[in-house]
Amino acid sequence: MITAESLTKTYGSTTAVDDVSFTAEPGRVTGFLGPNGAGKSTTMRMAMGLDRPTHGSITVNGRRLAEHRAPLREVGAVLDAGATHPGRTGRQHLRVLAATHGISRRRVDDVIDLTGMESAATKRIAGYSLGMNQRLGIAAALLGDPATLIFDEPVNGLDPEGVRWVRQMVRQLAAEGRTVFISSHLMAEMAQTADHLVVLGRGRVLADMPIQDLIDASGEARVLVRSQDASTLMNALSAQDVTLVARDAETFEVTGLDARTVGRRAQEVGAVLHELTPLQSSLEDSYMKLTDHAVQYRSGAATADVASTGPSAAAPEGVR
Amino acid sequence: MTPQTADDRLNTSSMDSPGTGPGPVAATGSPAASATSSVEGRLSFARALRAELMKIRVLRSSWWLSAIALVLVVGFTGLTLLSFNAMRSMQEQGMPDGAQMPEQSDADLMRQLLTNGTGGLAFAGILLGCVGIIAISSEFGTGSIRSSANAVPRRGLFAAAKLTAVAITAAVVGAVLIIASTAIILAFAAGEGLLGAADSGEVWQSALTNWLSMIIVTLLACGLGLLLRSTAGAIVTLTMFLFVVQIALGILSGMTQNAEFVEFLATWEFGNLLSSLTQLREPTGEAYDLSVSTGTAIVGLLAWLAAVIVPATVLFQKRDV
Repeated sequence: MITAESLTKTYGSTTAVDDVSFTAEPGRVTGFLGPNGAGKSTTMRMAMGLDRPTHGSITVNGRRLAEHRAPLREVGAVLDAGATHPGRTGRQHLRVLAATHGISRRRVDDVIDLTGMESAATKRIAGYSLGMNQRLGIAAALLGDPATLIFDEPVNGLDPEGVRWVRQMVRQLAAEGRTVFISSHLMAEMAQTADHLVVLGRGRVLADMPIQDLIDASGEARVLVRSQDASTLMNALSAQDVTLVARDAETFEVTGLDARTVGRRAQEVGAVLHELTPLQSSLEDSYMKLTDHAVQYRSGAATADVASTGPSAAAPEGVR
Repeated sequence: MTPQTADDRLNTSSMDSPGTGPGPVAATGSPAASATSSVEGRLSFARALRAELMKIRVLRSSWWLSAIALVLVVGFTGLTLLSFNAMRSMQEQGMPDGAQMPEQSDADLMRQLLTNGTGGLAFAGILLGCVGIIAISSEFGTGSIRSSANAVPRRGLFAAAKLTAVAITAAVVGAVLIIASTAIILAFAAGEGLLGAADSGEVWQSALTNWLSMIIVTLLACGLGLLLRSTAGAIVTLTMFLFVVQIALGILSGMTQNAEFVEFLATWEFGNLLSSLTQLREPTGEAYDLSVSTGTAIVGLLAWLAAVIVPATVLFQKRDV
C-alpha cells in the first residue's frame, strides 16, 4: 500500500509535484498516468526515499521506507534501468543487495530464474541490452518478495515479448495480493494492465478512479468501417442510438454498434468490407481531454491532430 | 481492440508464456493474496557492511589499484636498497673526488633504511585513497546509489557501512604493503649485518604509523567522495590535501617572510600532520621544523577527518540522490 498525503516537491521556483494525495491499494494494479514531466517519476522517487518531499508525505505500507526494518521485503522498485554498477555482473549486483538483508543466495538464483536472465547473470552489466537491464531491475525489485512494487515505465526499451512478459507479471503480482504501482505516459499500456488509475498533469492529480469508470465515462466503443459501398452500408446501419461519422468516401466510424453487428448488416445488404476495426481511442480520448490543459511539452500540430479524432471534434457529417 | 475486463486480464496472466514466462513470482510456498514477504532477512549494520565490502571486492579497479600500490611500494623499497648499497660503498672507498662521506652509526643507517624504504607508502596512500573515492563516487556516477538506497534507505547507516568498509579495505591492503616493504628492508638489513642495530620499537612505530596514515588518507578520500559525489573532483581535492596545500604554503611562507599565520597553517595542514605521524625522529622545535609529535598528529588528523566526514554525511542525509 502506498499513501501520498499533500505530497509536494519544488525545485527552486518549479513545482514538480503539487499537493498530491492518493492511495495505491493492495491486490490491484494502480496505473500512474501522465504526460512527460507531469511529476510521476518524482513522486515515485519520493516514495523510495531518494528525494525528500518539500512538504507532505508518502508512505509505503504505513511508514516511510527508511523506517522499515527490512526495506527490501516491503517494497521493490524499478525506477530506472540504469541503477546498477556496470562493472558488476547481474548476479553480483543481486548478491550485494541480498547481502544487506541477509537474503539467501538461493533466493538470488530464484529471481534470476524468474526473470529469465540466467544466460546474462554471469556477464558484466556494462554489456547488457536495455531489455536485460529492465529484467535485472525487476529481479532486484522481486528479491525481497515485497508486498509493494513500484515500476517506472517498465516496458520502455523492451521488445514485444518483453512487454507481454511484464504485463503478465504485473497482473500476477497484483493477483497475489500485492500493491503494484506502475507509471506510464501511454494510456494504451495502462488500459491493458491497470485496475485503477491516478492521472497526473503538471504535478496535480487530474483523476483518481477505477479504469472501468474512465472507460464508461468515455462513452461507447467505436468501430472503423471501410467499404466500397460505404453510403449503402451507412444507410443500412443508421438507427436511433447509432452515430455515423464519415471520414472519406469509403471510410466511416460507427458509434453504438459493435463490429459483429456491423459485419452482419454488411452481409445482409451485400456491401463489400475492406476493414472492420474496433477503435480503442475512446479511452485515449478521455485521457487526452483530462491532460489537455496539463501537457507541459506540447507539440502543437500533433496534439491538435490527435484531438480531432476525438468524438467531440469529429466532423459533423454524420448520417442519422 | 476494446479494453479487456478485469477477468480477461486475469486469464491472460495465468497463461503460460514460452521461455521467459513468469513462474510463481513469490518464492514457492508464498500464500496468494496475503502478500507478506516469504523471504527471510532484515537490514542491519553488519549486513550493510558485508554488502559494502562485497561491492569493493567485486570491482576490478580495487584490485588494480591495490596491485599498482604493491608494485609501487616494493619498487620504492628496492630502489632505496640499491642507493643504500651505493652509499655504503662510497663510505668505504671514498667518493670519486676523494672526499669522505660523514660516518653514520649503524642505528642511524637502520633508521634511514626504514624511513626511506617505506617512502613508497605515501604514494600508495593516494592509490588507496582512489579506492576509497571510487567506492562512493561510482555509486553516484553510475546511478547504483538508487538500488543501494532501496536496500539501505537509512542514509546514516549507509554512510557508516560504506566508510567502515573502506577503512577495512585500507587496513587490509595497507597491512600487506607494510609487511611486504618492512620484510624486504629487514631481510636486507640482516644481509648487511645491520639487523642488530635495529630498534624494534622503531620498526613497530614505522609500521603502525604508516598503517594508520593509509587508513586515515583512505577515509578522508571516501569522505571527499561522499561530499563531492564526483570521482575527478574528489581525487583533485585529495591531492590538494596531500601535496598542493603544502607547496602553496611553502611559497606563501617565502613571500611573507615566514609570517606567523602561514607557519600556523603549514603546521596544521593535513600533509604536514601526515608526515609528522610517520616520521621516526622527535620534532626538534627548531624554526624550520614544522613537524609535531605523533600524538598531536593523530589528534589533528582525526579533526581533519571529522571536518570532512561530518558535513559530508549531514549533506548526504539531506540531498536527493
